[in-house]
Amino acid sequence: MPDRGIVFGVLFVAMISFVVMLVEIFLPVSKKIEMNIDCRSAMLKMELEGGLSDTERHRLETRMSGQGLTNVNIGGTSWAKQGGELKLRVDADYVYSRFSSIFSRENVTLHLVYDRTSIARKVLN
Amino acid sequence: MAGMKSGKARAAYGAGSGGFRYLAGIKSDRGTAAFDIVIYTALIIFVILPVFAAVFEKYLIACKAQVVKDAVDLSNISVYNAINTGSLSKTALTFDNSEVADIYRQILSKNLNLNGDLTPKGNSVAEAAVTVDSLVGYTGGFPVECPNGKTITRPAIHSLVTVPVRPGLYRQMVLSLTGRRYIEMKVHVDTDIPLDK
Repeated sequence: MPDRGIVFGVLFVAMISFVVMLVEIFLPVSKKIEMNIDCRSAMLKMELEGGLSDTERHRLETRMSGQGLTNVNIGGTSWAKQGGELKLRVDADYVYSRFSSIFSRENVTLHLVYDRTSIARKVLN
Repeated sequence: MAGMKSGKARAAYGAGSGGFRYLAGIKSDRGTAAFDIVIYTALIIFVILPVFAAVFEKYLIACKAQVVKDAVDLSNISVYNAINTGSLSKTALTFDNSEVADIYRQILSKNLNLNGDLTPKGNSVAEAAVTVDSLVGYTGGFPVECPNGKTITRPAIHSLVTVPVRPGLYRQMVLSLTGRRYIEMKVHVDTDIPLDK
């Protein structure tokens, strides 16, 4: 009976670690989606305002930091005439902890990039 | 020889005092432990892994669809630039058709990391050439129905693109059995034209 208990214990721990390991795969992907959503909303503002204002840049930076992203670097067209190209590139690092083996964890740094081009909109009266 | 002798002696002793039953119990426990390992391994390989793989793949495909949708939406919005400003003065909203396709392809290729002919560059979400199935600008006669059956009630751009994406894990294996390499993801986006009235 003790044999069975030990085997059950080890397998149970291994299985839980494995399941947690699998769930952790979702973390960076969901972080990238969150980043894309914030950057997309900044891009929409850029389209309407014709560029990336300092206020919007600061707001975006704050939101990126709030998401736990570090080394945030935002580059965007500051002004474009109607019909002109607008570019927004956001680079950031996401540091998270994940299982490296069944009983150990390690910090991993993932570099996330949002790079899109759009055109300054014409708002028709 | 001594060992064998003592083994035989222990077996003989055991037979006389119910020891065989004890040995049989040990064997059975070991057998159960091995059976447990097989069961748990099978559970991981045939249940947990496929379920997670299926969920994760669906999630990844949804993420890729979101990236493509975002790029298509940006491209739709950019088509506004092809609005014929001359006709606007006559309160008519028309598109310069020659410009529509050019602007659309240009912005789509920039946002999906494609070449000019819509074939993918190195780090594109697309695995093969992207095709623009339909691109229509609606400027009047509302309500109208777009080719995908959605009712449009305001000036809008309709587009449908097919983006070949590569699945991962199990789905890739299933797909390779059928001789295919990609999933053809059809992304349909209708974007309203922002009219400031």
